[in-house]
Amino acid sequence: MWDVNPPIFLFLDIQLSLLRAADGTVLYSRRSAWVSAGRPLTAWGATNAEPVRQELERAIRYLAERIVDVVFLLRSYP
Amino acid sequence: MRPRRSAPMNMGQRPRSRVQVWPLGLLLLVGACAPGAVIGLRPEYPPIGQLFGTGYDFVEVDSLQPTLRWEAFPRKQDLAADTEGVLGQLTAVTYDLEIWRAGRTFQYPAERVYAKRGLTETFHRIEQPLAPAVRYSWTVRARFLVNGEPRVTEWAMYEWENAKLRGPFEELFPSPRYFRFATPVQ
Repeated sequence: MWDVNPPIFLFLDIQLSLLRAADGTVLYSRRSAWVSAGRPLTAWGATNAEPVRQELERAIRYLAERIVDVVFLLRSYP
Repeated sequence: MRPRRSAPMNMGQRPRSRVQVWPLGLLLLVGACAPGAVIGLRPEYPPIGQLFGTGYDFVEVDSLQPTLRWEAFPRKQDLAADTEGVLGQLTAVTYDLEIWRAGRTFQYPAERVYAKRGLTETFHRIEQPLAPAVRYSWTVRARFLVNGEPRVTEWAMYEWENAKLRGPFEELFPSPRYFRFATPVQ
């Protein structure tokens, strides 16, 4: 059954690219996304959309951690 | 085989950064994982079922402070694939653990409620009681040094059954494929 006030999710879609400064060659590229917890539209818009700003800050912080991981730390094994 | 970066080079794509409100893709992204197949370290407790289909339910743990367990790194398959001996230079293995409260819709990880870095054992008892009768997602990874340089493995999660269903993203964060458990009523 459809909810009259369904949850809405905030997606932050990023394209991470690592370029060689000398010639701009793309050395590494990856597309990632952050998805928030769902909230009704009215909750997102409360207090002049402060929840949207807070969620964006959280998403950017997590994605920054993730970028450090994948570029500098991550090794994949079978 | 030499250990490799987890994501392939993705040349020629137009760089972009934008915010989207896109609630409908989650159903597609959550479903269709191979039964029992995982990426990264396999949990030993709580046991994993399937992300989708039979065993979809969250496994109820034995207390509000469960002891989570996982396999040790490096595993046999890591050593077997390490033909260049990189893992022979591996030191200072520890583990990172994260627990996320699941959202009410799609049971997607919604809020990181617990995080530990540098665990020296392959198990960890949750230090503060979790909320009763709540669904959680959890994941673990190894952190180590290779020739003195810090490295991590991928966060552990269910493997995709069908790569075509991954959607446009190489990864979604936090991943809907983290492992799952539910706390008892009390």
